[in-house]
Amino acid sequence: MSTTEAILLGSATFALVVGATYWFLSHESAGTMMLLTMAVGLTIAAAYLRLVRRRASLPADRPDVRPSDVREPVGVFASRSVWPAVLALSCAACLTGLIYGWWLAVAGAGGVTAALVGLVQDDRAARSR
Amino acid sequence: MSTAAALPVPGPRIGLLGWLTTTNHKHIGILYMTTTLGFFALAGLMALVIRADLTVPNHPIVGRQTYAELFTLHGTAMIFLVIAPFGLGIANYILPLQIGAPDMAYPRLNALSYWLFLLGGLVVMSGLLTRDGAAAAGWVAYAPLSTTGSPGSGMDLWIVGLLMVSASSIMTAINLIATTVLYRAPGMIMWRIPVFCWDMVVTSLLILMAFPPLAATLAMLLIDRRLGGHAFDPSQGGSAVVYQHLFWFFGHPEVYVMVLPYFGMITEIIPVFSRKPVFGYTAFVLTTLAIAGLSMAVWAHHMFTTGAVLNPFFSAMSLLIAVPTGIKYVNWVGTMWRGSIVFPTAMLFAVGFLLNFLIGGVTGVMLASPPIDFWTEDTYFIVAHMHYVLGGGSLFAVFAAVYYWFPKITGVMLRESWGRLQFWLVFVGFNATFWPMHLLGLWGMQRRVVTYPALPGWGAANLVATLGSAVLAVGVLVFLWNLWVSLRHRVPAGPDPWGGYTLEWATASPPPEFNFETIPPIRSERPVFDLHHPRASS
Repeated sequence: MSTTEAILLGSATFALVVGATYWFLSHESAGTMMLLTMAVGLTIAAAYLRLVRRRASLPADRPDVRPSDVREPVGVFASRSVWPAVLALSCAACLTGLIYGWWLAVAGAGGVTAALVGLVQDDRAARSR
Repeated sequence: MSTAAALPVPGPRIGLLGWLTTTNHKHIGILYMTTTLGFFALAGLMALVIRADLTVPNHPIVGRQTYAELFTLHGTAMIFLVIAPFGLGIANYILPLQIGAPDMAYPRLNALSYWLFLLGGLVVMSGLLTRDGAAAAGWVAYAPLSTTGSPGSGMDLWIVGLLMVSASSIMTAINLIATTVLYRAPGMIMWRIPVFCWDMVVTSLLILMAFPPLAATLAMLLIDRRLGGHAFDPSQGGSAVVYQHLFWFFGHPEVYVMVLPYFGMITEIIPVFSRKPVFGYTAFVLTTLAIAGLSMAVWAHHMFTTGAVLNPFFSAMSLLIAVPTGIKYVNWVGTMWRGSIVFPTAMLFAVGFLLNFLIGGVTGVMLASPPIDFWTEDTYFIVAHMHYVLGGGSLFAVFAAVYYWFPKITGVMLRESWGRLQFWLVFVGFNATFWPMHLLGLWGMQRRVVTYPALPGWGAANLVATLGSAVLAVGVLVFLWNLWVSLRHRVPAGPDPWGGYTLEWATASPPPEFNFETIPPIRSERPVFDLHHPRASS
């Protein structure tokens, strides 16, 4: 079991134990549900990591390897894109539209759609390079 | 400490469009930090007006509504727009460097997080421009004060703005965890990552558990206000107490979201200036995890006086947090013990953090006891406690971190002489401002009141607090002056001005676009020390 999985599973166990104790002592449902949801969420994350780790191991997890020993590229990193700023601005318009009028929310939703399309195209272009 | 240095490599000028479209973690880190500085200035000005208002009894200088807006926006800004995001901002810049990564795992998501944060903050503050004024229900916005009690659109803007900030924090947390898990340099196993990175991973986990309940609460609040919902309306089957449960299920872990990154920063600084490795690396990491876990189970100690929660359970869990926090003090003091300690400004602020946070921690232990909490609920004792934790603690660590990493980020040194002057002004000003509030609280002075009666001692204690806040403000002005002078008349820092231990000191200052030309072998949590002192490390 990797360190990350151990942390997630340990935290999930803690939340489960505290949640159960809290329920038996208080019979209060809001806090119990939140603690149990936390336990479930952490368990899902740990299970996902376990699943992924079967497919690939990282050079970072091998204590004796040197950085100069690894030749494969680290990853693909976007250099710049205008779409994150457009998406955030559109989200702001969409949400403030709930206060100032549906026209603003609709305009914001249009901006969100355009920005999402732009982000996907950005990603495709970066990966094809 | 080496001061010999080549001229700093000036980063390419990227222009306005460059800043708008950047996805580079270092640029985004700088954007975060400068934006939080702007919000800090705004929140600081609000605090000065609040203190001026309370200088003498029975003589308010602002109206009740304005006063309520001021303390609401001051608290909101400091918690959501300054202390927590500054930690995320510096993590954006430093964490990939410390683990030997070329960038964050998801650069565009990172940019989106920043823009959501900036725009969310501006939406919150835009309430000041509305006809009915800004939100005035306190930073906790309890229902029904935030529902039927706040009819103006300023409250709606507060909710919408914080929804955006919540989404931003969640995205940043995902990014920080993914970066640390996936992009560590070869050989940097998890038990070799710097303590600051550990603290950011744990903080990110806390964000992922605590911010979704906040987002859900804010969404329900907006539905109650705008779309006819009744989630928090007891007359229609809703529950105002559930609002408190949901809010504090976010709110108490949020305290540690605002503290753990700064524990990490201090734990980077103290060993370097004590010329020793951190004492008890493993214990430090495990206690960070313990604090995070316990912080998820203490939310209702903010609700002792509601009579709707199991006080002994939450009291016991809250008291337990003192144990891992105490162990951290053993780590810090043990690191300094018999070290060759030097005191540049960064170390002065780190020690200031230790002293102030200790006071905040001790009053926290007191407040974990329901009888004391009943006595001090909603008094200035609470104001003193939370400012010692978040101001005397986190804010001192902010300054420590700025003095420590400014040379790496800009390639130039901050002036030590101005830094020392700033430290003493801030230290004296801070304690003069907030120490008297302990007494005022125990004497029964309520918080969130625009004025107060002339009872024995109240006027004098408030006068001292106001004078202290003026000294504190002068300290902050000295800091701004130091930034200006240091950037105008540049003293080159070189790659490693402090004799640092972690990987960010193995590259140029400021670092090139993808951070490293070469990365040294990683055999411990101090790879740069190992590189420079192979005999000592073997």
